[in-house]
Amino acid sequence: MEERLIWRKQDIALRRAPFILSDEMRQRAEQILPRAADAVRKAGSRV
Amino acid sequence: MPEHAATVTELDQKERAALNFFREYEEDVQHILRNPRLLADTEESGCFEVFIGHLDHALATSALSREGLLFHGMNRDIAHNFLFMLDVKETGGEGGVFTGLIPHLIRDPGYTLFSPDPDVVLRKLPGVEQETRVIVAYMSHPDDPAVVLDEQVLYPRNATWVTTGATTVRWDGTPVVIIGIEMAGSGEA
Repeated sequence: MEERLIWRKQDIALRRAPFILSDEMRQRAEQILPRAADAVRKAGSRV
Repeated sequence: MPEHAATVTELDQKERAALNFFREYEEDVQHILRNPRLLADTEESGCFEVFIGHLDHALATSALSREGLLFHGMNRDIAHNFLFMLDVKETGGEGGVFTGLIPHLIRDPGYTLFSPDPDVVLRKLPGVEQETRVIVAYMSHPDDPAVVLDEQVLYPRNATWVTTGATTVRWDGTPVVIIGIEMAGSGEA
């Protein structure tokens, strides 16, 4: 069932965005990515 | 139940049935949505459209109760090309957060499912030992149109996601690149 959590090449289309990131999006990424990294690191320590 | 408990009490019987059908036949449903010609001009196409209509409505009338981190994986047949497009280096170690990347759009004609547990995603990502894994991370918004389904979170079909940044980390010794994403749009084709 977890295969539904994985994008394969044929599942999606990728293209360059026709815009630049807003400051709000950039700031949000700066907040979210360290939290995501912590979550992955902690998950790895449980393995 | 994940912390993103969704409001599903408003769903009617047909919408609940559609969610149960999706739970059972997710792979087939996604395959058809991503390859719509498969069902074009067939007897089943009408029933499929009705089913999808109920599922779309179920999502449109649901909402997450709070924000939370969600994860989705990139298969190895696309992961390295994806990093090349974003100009993200596979450093193999732990790094800082980069938000100066040229943003890219990811469009999925199917429904997007996330897990709140990155371990669930990473364990299912194929790859040889020590090969860099690539996952995306999304921070859900309260009121996002989404439904919790079997410990996962289901988002609308035809969603377009925009990449916002990247960081690298190690998961049990395996290098992982995490790409931040935001929803840039969703809806019917």
